[in-house]
Amino acid sequence: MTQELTFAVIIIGILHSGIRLATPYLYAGLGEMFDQRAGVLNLGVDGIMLMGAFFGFYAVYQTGNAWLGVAAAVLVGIVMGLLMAVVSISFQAEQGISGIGLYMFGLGLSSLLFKTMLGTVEGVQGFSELKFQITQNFSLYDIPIIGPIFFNHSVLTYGAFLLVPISAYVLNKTTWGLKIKAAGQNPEAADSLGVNVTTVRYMTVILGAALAGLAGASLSISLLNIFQENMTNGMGFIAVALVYFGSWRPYGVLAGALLFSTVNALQLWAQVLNLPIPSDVAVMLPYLLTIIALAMPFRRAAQPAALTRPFTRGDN
Amino acid sequence: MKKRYLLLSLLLIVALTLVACGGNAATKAPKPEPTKSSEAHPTKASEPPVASGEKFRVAVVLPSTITDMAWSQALIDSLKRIQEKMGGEDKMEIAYTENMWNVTDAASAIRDYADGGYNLVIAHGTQYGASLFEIAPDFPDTSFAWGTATDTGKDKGVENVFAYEARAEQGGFVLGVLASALDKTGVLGVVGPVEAGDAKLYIDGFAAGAKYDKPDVKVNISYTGSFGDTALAAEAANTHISAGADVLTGSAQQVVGAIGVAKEKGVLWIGTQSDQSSLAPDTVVASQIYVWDGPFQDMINKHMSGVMGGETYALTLENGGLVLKYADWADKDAVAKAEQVKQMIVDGDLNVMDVIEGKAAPAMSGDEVSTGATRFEYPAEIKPVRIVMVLPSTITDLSWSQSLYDSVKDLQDHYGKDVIDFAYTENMWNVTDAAAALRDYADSGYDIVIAHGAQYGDTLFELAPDYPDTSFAWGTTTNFGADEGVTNVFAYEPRADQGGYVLGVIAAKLTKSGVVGVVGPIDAGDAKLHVDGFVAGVHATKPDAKVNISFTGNFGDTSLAAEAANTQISAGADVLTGSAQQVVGAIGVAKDKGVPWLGIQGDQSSVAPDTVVATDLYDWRPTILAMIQARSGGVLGGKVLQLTLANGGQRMIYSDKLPADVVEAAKAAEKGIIDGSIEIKAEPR
Amino acid sequence: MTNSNLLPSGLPRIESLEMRNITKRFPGVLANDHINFDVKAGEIHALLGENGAGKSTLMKILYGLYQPNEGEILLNGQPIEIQSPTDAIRHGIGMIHQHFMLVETLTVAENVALGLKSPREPVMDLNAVSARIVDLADKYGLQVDPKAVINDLAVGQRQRVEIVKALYRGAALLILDEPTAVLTPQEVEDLFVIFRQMAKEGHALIFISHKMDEIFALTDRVTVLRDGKVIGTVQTAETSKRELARMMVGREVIFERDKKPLPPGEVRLKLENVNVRNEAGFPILKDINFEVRSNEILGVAGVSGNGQRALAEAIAGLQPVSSGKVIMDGEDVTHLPPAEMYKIGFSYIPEERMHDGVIKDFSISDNMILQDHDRPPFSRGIFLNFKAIEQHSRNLVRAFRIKTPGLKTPVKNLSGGNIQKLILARELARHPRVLIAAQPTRGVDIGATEYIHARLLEQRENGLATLLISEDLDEVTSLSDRIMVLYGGEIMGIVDADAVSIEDLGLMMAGERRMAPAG
Repeated sequence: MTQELTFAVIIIGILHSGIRLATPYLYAGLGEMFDQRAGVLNLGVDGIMLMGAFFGFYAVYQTGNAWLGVAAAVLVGIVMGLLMAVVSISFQAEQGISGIGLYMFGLGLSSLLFKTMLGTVEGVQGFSELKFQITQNFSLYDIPIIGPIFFNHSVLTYGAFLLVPISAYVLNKTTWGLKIKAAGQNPEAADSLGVNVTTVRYMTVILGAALAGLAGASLSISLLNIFQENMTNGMGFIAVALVYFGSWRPYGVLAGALLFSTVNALQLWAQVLNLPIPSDVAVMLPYLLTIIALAMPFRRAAQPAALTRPFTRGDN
Repeated sequence: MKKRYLLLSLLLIVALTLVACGGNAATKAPKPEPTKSSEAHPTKASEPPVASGEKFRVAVVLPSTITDMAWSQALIDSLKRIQEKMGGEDKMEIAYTENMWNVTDAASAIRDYADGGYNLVIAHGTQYGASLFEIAPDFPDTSFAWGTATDTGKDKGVENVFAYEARAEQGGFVLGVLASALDKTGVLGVVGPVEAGDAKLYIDGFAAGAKYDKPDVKVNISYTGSFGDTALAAEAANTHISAGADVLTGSAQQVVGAIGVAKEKGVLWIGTQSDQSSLAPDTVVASQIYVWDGPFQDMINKHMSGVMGGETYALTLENGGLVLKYADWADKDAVAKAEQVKQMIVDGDLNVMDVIEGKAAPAMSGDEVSTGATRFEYPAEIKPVRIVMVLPSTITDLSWSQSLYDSVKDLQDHYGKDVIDFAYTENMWNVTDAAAALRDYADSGYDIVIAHGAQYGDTLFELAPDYPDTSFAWGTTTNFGADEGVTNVFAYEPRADQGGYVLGVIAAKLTKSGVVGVVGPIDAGDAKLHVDGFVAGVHATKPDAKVNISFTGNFGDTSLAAEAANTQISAGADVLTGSAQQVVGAIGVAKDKGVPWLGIQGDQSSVAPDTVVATDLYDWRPTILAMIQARSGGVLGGKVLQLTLANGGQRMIYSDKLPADVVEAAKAAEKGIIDGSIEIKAEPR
Repeated sequence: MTNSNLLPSGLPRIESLEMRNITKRFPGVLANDHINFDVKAGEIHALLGENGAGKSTLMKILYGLYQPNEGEILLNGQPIEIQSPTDAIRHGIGMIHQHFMLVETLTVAENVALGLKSPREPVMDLNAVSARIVDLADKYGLQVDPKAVINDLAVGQRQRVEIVKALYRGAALLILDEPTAVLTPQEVEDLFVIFRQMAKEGHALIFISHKMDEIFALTDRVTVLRDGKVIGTVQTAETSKRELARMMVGREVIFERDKKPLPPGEVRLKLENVNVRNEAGFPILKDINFEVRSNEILGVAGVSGNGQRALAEAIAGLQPVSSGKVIMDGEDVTHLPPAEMYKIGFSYIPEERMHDGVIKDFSISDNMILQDHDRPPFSRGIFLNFKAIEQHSRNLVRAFRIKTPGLKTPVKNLSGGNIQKLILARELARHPRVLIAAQPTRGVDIGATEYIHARLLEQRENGLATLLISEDLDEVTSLSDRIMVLYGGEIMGIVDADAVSIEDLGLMMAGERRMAPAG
């Protein structure tokens, strides 16, 4: 009577979940990676995500157009990023504190807006999952195993994964990436060579925040298609941890996000399959792994030397 | 020595000057009446005051004119009636300032009146509140009043302010019924000012009333964003008529513009606040009129007996503050229908607020299968109580916290804010923060402090002995601190296994694959009970069905819950259930995949009305009332209060999407649980 | 000189650069007062002056970091505007900073390419950059690997990367701001070969230094600044150390210390097999054995970062000793906390004086009693005795010639030399038996340096045992009785100050081990 759970079904389930769940972490984590490579620690990611999630959702709720939701989320991310940049770069406020402030602001404002503009949790039709129809009777989704794992995601999920090589290329192969790395490692040196450290940091913080906004939208208009107060539930902080985990490298962040989300998917399946692991231990697993990885001393060595240090010309 | 005499004589001079300035009235007013007489009158408000002789002076600051046929006029009309009753202008003076839309100007007018020795200064608008609370303490011998409001400033230490409000939704509801009965096109139009205060109440009530009569009637609402923009109101009326409306209503002084349009186009108008029939006798079919006589007469009486403020008044249909007036040419059947509904409201059979908030069935439902569950009834009278809730999530979480909040709010709506006063703090997932909040609340004198989560227990037992007059409550638990020697703690426990069992029966009936899934937060508390009952219910109905359970380890991780739902569906589940605020994520997935969802704790149908087919709703009202009544009997704690199907603490809601046989089986299970013929046994997991 | 007008890098030479009547005012300070300064192609021109004389300001104006209030800059006779480093680079002016301006985690090629437009913008073309680096390196004899990461390079190599960076940007004129500060004597000599070669090829070089020997070894002309004014410009070959010193400070400076020969007294401080590990667990001091006696100054030489700081802090009780013993006057004081150390006659003048030596926001008198505020005569019970404190502070300020507006002035408003005098005054007033002086004259002007040196020698005669840690070899050799060289946390050798040559010290500082003299 009950459906037979084959090994294939389980593997597909875990990997498919792992890929989906990684989406918000990738956007937020890659954005934060740029921030930190330029020397700015933005702890407000979670707040920006919430704002992005809300505005993305609200735009779709009002217009029905999912792409407008993306635009709204990115836009609100840019505004939040600008706020962070002004406070932490121009006014040189302590970055940890201003980031937490930004988080509280995003958390509070998104809740307030939700209460006044929506009032109750409702659903929208956001991005649906693509199946890659090639011909009338064949889609990539039909490929056994591979299909259901890789060709059954929304465009925002593919976007998140595509962002990894793009980020790596920008960081390692472009002059802009070089400026970012220099601004985060030795801003005085960058300045002495005519690099405008302030501009570089502004751009990266705004980019990072726009991606955080997109991360929020990926929750509210792609993965879940709802908005709820504090729906990120601290994902933004996990994203910051993933940057450390990934040693400030795009592929490192990818590895971290995938590990984190796949272990999460794994523990869900472990419960469904009644494996003899207490659920409390299972749910701890992803966090445990993150902490272990963060404790490794070699990771700290890769930390941008000027992280959290404001820059003023002639300060040396 | 010399200095002291100087000071004394100085004081004497000041006192004499004050008396002189205050004239006749001031010499007697400060003298408080004996207690017995002050207790004697407030109940019957319309009686003229016992005290007589000197002139009582009332000043009013109005946002519009006394001829606005709306808000301001209603008040002045009432005051004039009181004046007449008190014996004319010699006994009572009415001074007023109109068009005080500028709050700063209004503030100086209020201060001027208070300075001028008026006994009662009325600030007739919500916008004046902030100024009032600044001014009032400077004039302790003057009474102030403001509305629409319920805040008398007690918690700010202000003692000489009255507050008043009009429960306009009640008349609005009746007029909504009337409008829909009169309507032929199926469209009604509303011209509102701003979405706040009594206008919002009225319009909400009107819309609910219209739908109560005819569920498919269309109520088009437009807010102009202003109180006085007649042209815009006229334009709004035009728009409504173009959109097919044949009965219009609206509020604030702006509506005179709309009434003109209604008259011109030959559609009906329904008024509120003041009687607007004089403007267009053949157009205004009915009005709700605010009769402020009772409250203001009572304020005057209170003032004379030395009580300067602190009271909150509400105009209701029941107390005669809201009067409905129908045109004599109005359709008799429609009026009769409206009057019938009005009687239900007056008798307490229909709570308009509940209908508006979607908690009560909007229309009379058909024949119910009796399950033996207690139908919830409001006790006639309860002692005033101050309640505070420390919540782990938000009041919009559609689950644990919201269910409690909604219940307490409902009680407040029923009994009024002067009987049930409550406060809450959300998102107290940090136990240390919660502990601080709990202590703060206990310090500020709340009667019942609810720590809404099992994690708060340790804190509570530390706290409770320090506040022996305060009742504390927490759950899910059965531990009220007997071992700790604490006597003022209630423990509460939703027996979610009962509702869970019923949901399990439904799941077993619905599943085709033979696999059902649970998305739980952690394996503890009511979530655990829910799962235990659910599994028992499934297996009792379909022994070979498989129940897959995943706990996310988290209450709020929506995306993880969504992923868990995905996992369940991949593993073959075709019916899902789950608890905690995280489940909105899972419901979204269920909706996408076309899998029915069985809800618990809060009503989650707003997320996906077609997906949420049944809900085990926590109704905390009996529990809260049990605490209040225990306190009245001097019992401050030491009890376990359970939310069961039998005592109405859990209510099953079945969607009309559910097949009749499934509902029948579910109701049979309810009945069995209530009469004890079904015993729920948790299976080992 | 070549007869071509082009430099080996393929760019035109700067035949002359002239700064005329440059004046720069900061609030309350006239940093540059109508300064005239010029440099020609093929010339190395030294800029000499005490701290605050206006050298850095002048060079920052030339490099576009500051704008002058008055004056003009002429390039090959034409007036030019320099608004930013980018302008300066465009005009062929490069600067080698005192602290390396390198991004340590990037490669040589990336550091060189940073801030430059790529031909394939926004994509970098590191191959083209590398090829040009190799080309430049060949022409100037600067061996660098374009693919090497800066972190893996030795200090001397990093200096070469800085030069390549400037040349790559077309620098015809180079400002060298104390380029030898962190180099060993051998590395300095290698660098000078490169500088001479560059000058010979037609570059113009401005060389900023405090070190007389280097000025005489390298430069063609010297301009001396004092108090924001030019005191004079002289041909290096026609002047002497003594004359330059007089120009700098306005009076004669005694270079040879009058160090009385004294028989060493009893052993005051002794270290036995001391090992220290850093937070990450790596050894930073290995098997340290030495002793310091009464009436003796033991100099500790070495390139900074070779364990000097750990040594001082281990003795002072600020850094845990993982094994071995620190013995003072025969007692084991290895794990004694700093406060206890101070009570038994130990004093420490720390390296980071603004950070560790004083509390910046406190007044002079408060800083004077930091360690002793809880003891008579400065306290009575739990109260401070302000009269005694003031008396004590006033005496010290007078005795050590500390220039200050008043005793209540916060220390952060004093100049570096005066802060150092304050610390020295405080520590010596406690009549210690053992003193560690770490970099006591770093960043201190020549007048104050002289004064501090005299005081240290005076205390030596009074029986003090001093451990003098300094990167200034002149200071170490002129004050010390014996010199110990640290390299990589190990002692390379302990030698008599009179018997050792600068060359030998340089070799030891570069890691060559010498036998310790007997005793």
